[in-house]
Amino acid sequence: MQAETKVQTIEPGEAGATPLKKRRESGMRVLFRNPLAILSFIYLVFMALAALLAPWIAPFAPSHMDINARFIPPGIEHWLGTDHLGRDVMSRMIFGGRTTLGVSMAVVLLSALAGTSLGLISGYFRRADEIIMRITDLFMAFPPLIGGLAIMAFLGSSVKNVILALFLVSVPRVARIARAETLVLRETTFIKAAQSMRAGPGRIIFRHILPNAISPLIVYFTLMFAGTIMAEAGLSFLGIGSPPDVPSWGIVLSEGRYYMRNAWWLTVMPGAAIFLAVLSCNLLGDGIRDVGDPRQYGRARRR
Amino acid sequence: MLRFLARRILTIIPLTLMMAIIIFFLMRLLPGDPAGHMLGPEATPEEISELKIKLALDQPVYIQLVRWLGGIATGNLGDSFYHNMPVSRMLLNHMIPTLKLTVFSLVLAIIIGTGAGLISAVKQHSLIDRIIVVISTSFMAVPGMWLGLLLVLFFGVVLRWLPVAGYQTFSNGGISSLKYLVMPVLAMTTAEIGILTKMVRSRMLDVLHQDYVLTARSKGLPFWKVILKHAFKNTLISVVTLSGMMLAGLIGGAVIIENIFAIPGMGRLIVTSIARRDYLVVQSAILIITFLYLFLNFLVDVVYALLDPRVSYGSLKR
Repeated sequence: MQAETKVQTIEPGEAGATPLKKRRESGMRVLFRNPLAILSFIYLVFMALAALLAPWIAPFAPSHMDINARFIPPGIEHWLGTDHLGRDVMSRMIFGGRTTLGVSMAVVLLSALAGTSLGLISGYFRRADEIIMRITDLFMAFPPLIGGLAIMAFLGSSVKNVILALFLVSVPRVARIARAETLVLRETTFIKAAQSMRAGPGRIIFRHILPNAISPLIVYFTLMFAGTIMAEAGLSFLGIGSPPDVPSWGIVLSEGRYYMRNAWWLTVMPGAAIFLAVLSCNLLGDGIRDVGDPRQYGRARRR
Repeated sequence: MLRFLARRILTIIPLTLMMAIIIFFLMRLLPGDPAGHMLGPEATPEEISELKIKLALDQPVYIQLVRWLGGIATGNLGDSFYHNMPVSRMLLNHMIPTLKLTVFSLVLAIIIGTGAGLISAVKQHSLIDRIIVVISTSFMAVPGMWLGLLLVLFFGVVLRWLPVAGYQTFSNGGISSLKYLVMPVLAMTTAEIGILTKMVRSRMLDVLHQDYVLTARSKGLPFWKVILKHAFKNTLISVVTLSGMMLAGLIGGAVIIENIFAIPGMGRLIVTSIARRDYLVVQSAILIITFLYLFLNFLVDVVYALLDPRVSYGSLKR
């Protein structure tokens, strides 16, 4: 334990960083001063809750058809109107959020876990680095959507496959960032101090490197969540994402486009949902980034 | 310089080769028997085995792999199952619209994004800066497919200014062929404009606070000269770096946009071929579109090397 406290006291001197705990407190203050980030956070929580509670709050079943109620414009009974089969657009969007946000959440969580581990290993152990990085190079040679498309083309459309495809596309990118952070941290004096005290690699990685590498990663995960929402919607829009009987924002948008001329709401509403979700993620990510940026604390810092 | 270029080209070759191998094994992921999958549920066993022989699926995997790689090297990628036409010819026909879309969008994004970012940074904290920041942040979040549809609704259906979909080659339509590209390019480029504006702004702000800019100012150089000759030149290098990254987004965007506007490019070819189970076309098209991406990235690297004297031609960036 003694060694532990010593290491902690060396840390603040490194790169002019404030101690972790203090940084976190003032970090929250910075975040709270940013109303846009807070608003985005509230909106995302609201969307997530709506998706989670979909069966209870959606006014209709997502596939409930009513041929007498086709193409009803947004109004009191159908807040967002109905589609070509008389299905309630709002209910389909709430259930669609389940797919789109659920897939994105799963992809971000899984690739955060796998990618961060790979990155930490790759950055800390020289020997593993060469192999892991060559493999990520290879996967990153595909533009993200094309990589997802290639996997989906051969796996067939299902929600599980979308998660797998987007996971495979995201992991190397997370690994890259985690590795870069690890490489920088590995050379700092407090890590050297921990090493000289015979701390094992596991302890160094999880107690010293990971906590210091996590904030840029969290920013990236927020932005990745936005990117995954876009990618999931894109794949579903092309008809190779989630299967047509599972509503997703991309599918609602894709089905609505054929009736665009007389039912504008079928195009405007699902697109707006994607737009707002992506915008909120970006704003929240910016807010978190500002927290990690010491320049925001009011003291000028030279680079 | 020449050695740098040669080396950079040489890295593309093994990368393409590895990608071809990945795509080959991806195709083996098809559930069950590819030949049966391609022909659909009504196929008789005789038809299936006939197709198997034609596609060499009855041979061991390594022979199939060698055939696929040999085909790539010689340009003989087999015949499309649906169109009865050499795959290589189909790919050549579909490549140009995608290239046009991507390059036009990239150029437009660079012009508008750099300009807006520059103005925004120079006039930091002014009204125009705030407007640009709000617009670029919103642009970044706009899904291209949605914007494409909204543009069609507004300019195609309501105002009837532009054709709602379709494509014309330049030799056929001349200048009027560009009309078909306006909406697709706008839909593809908007998000990229947002990203670039934001990046140029923050990079420019960094540069403007550096000592050498202050020195140049204190020597009495006019403001615009400092901005353009000292600050902007350094920002331009980041623009080139970013262009490489933006290409990934643009090529992915092209796939979706081509499908909205019925443009006969690679993306549309891939998606329609997936629906038709024309897997020979799918695998070759994915390989070619990825190769296209690598090639455009290579061009970006060349520009980068030309612009930045600090790039050492010997070592590659990791």
